[in-house]
Amino acid sequence: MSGSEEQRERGREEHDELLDGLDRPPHISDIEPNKDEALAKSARELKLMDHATYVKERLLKDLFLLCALIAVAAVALIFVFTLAKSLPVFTDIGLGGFFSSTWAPSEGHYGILALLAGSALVTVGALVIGVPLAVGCAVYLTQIATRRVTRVVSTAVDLLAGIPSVIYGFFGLVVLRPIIANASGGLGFGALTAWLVLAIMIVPTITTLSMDALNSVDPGVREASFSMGATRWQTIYKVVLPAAKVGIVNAIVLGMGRAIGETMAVLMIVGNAPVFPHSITSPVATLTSQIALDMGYSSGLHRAALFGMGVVLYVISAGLVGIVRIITSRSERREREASRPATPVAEKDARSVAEGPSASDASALLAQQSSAQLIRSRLDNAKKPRVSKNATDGLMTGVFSAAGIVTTAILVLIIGFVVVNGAPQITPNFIFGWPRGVNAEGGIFPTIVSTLYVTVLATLFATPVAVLAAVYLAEYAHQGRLVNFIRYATDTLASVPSIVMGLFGYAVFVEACGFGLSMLSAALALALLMLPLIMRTTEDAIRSVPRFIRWGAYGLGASKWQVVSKIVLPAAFPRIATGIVLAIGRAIGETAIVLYTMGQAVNLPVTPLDSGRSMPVHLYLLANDGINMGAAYGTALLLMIMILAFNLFARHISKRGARQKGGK
Amino acid sequence: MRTPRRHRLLALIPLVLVLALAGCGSGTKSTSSGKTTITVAGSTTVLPIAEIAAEKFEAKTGNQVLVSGLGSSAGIEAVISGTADIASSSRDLTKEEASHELVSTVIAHDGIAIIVNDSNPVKNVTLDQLRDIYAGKIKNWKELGGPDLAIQLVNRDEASGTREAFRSIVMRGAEFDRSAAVLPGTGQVRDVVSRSAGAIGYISIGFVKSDYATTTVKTLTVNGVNATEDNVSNGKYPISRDLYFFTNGDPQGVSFQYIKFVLSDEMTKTIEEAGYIPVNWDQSARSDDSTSTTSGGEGK
Repeated sequence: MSGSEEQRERGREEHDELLDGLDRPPHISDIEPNKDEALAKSARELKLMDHATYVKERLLKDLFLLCALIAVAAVALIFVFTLAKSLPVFTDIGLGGFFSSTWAPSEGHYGILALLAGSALVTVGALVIGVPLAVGCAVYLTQIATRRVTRVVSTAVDLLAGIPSVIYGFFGLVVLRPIIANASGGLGFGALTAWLVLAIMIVPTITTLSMDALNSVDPGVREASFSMGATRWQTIYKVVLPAAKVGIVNAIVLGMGRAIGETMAVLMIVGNAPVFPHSITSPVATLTSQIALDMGYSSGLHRAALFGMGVVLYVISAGLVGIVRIITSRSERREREASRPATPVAEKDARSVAEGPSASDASALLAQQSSAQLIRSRLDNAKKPRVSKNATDGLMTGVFSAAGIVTTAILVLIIGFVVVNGAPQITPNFIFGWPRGVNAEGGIFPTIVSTLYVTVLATLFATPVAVLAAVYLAEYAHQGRLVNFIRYATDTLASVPSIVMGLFGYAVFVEACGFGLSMLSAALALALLMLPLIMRTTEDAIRSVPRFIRWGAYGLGASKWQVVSKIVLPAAFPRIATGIVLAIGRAIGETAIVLYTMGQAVNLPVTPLDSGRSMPVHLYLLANDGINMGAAYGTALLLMIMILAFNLFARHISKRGARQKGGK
Repeated sequence: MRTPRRHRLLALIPLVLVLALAGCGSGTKSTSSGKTTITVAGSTTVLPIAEIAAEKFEAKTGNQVLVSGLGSSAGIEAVISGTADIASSSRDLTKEEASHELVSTVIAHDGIAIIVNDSNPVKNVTLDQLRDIYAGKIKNWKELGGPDLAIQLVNRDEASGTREAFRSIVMRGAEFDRSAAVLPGTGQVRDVVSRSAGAIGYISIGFVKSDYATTTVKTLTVNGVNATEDNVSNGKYPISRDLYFFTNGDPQGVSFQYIKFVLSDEMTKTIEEAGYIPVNWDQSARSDDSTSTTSGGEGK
């Protein structure tokens, strides 16, 4: 996530600079905290700060650092624990046995290659379908659509991101599977079904991040291209997309991580046959689905093998985050070199257009380059017999618009499916009643309480740590190796597949800490999921508070903590709250983490050590039981209403925050 | 102006710490009101019996019974590790599991019905044919006298006791075709088979007729014997097994009372209605006819 958000951040700063007309150094954020520090230090030297205040400031700073290090510790602990639990893979199974092709735990075969192949097949297919849709949608929203359309479609994309994976799985199982079964003559379980569902699931991730990348392309470049007579399609294809290439590639890599790590939706629709895929409509299994399927009953070597698969997933996701960071930092370095007027601009590639605004000379030069390129390409094109450029333009604009429309239509379809089937189930008895007769009758009240209970608990755990850690990163830390490392850790934590967190939660909270299957175990594991989400948004929020407000406060003799607590945090509050609310939405819908940390028995939890069944788990088990699909639809609808309400509430907060800011 | 809100947020920190500390105490399961909660985990096949018994038991004694179904192996694992009090299982213990001090109680008998799609004209399979089908050697309904249609295998997950029972009775040493779809629930197997022309699956007889499902499935006779409760109890139907409760050591306290309740006369009728054969099954008590004809396809 880091790449494009940093880019967005940069874009915003650059934008502010242009508006202010101030002549600031290009990478102001690199220098800024040192300046703050220096001010605070000199204040102390001037004896404006007594000893007690100084000690308090020190302690607070250490506390914040501690919070930030919790994220690092979590990442390290997850890895170490999962690895430790998988040690028998090295000692007893052997790497040769682990990386062989037969997965048959009851016969003593623990080879994961077929599962890896399944994961790869499912992921690649999802990307092939999802990436054009997602990038097309992002291009449509940023380059073509009117503001009103953009508002509607981007809301749709946000809401798609909020729908929990168990509902996607349920949709795939009940709607897509029969269709594919009829078309293929098989059972409908398999890679094809998973492709369609996963493609929808990765669209929000890729679209949102691609939009950030596309929005950070200087509008001047586009205008220059238009003024050369290029059509909209030509501008998009030859200028805007290349300029946003790095951000889009990052978005795709992170979308890929999402697809590999997805558990519940895949588990419900792949058919779980641990063999090398015969065809795209025959059952397959993935690493994640196999872990989720086997976790409950495995023991001994089998369990060790599952933890080994967790390690493999962890390494893959950490690797993908690493790739994103390398791509981003390399492009930043290139950018910095390019923006130095003395350095000859080496790249002919139009990608370097991206950094235009920070140095107007370079931008002009690059705009010239891209226009030269345009002319050249148009000359090339003129040689070929071809349809008129306006026809191509119309066609391609239509294609992009279709991507936006398809995305919105899918959202409407899924919500419609759940609402139409679920609405008749929603009665007071369903909401406030207990399940009776093998969950076939009655209500789902205990699952609602369990879900809210565990979410509140997880929020209480995650929020203080995440906010304080973000304060440290944004306000106190030297921008150096440590901060970079903490960010890498946070990004990794954000991309660790939830089933791996479930494994970790089971090994540490349920077993090692002795909390058992309980609200507490599940809440602690969920807090790990929420931590990076809240940290990231809080840090962004704090950074977006204008510097001069802080300088004013320092000028009045305020201490660092006074500035942070009285000035910065209140100003950043709306955006922090938005981040917290969105993280809560994620936690409510999370299934894989709570499945093996909270228990599955229906129970009304009272103490944190009580077990229970959350709504997503209830939905999953109802879908498996296949006894009472009515209750499954009803649960899906209530779950979706809760999460969408949280998402819309988050949008409301951030909008209100923006309005208040505008009003000041 | 917004500082109070900020302080409220900070005030949460001690609260969280207190909660975390409270969590460190070890977990006892009896609640303050004197009621005790026990946990039953395991087989999805046994779910109907365990759940209905739990409801009635709770109404009668006030003690709470939490029931969950993730497969027999999961339940046995949970009892061994202490996260559950009773494991419900549709298979006997494996050698490894038997090395722990588990005590078994047979609570009912059950047959495993072989189900196919309603549209499938095939009526009977032999045990050997069934083994070949699930080993992946017979791949087309044609070979069983049916239409030229590929057989779509539906298997259960390894946590399932039904799978284990099927493996020992039907497979007899042959390996399952691992490219079969693996579904984690009895109801799902039924649903998928009811909607796919070429599919074959196996489920507990108790699940063949379902008051809640909207679709129906057809049962195949095995070696010419229809899958009915009677044929299971008189031993004619070849694929049957016992359903168990396992406890770590002799069942005590509420667990003992609960197991006793499940075996009581009060539950006999419930177990029978759910489609299983109670331990104290008395065939003469049944008034309706139940001869072993070869008519398949039932369901409402």
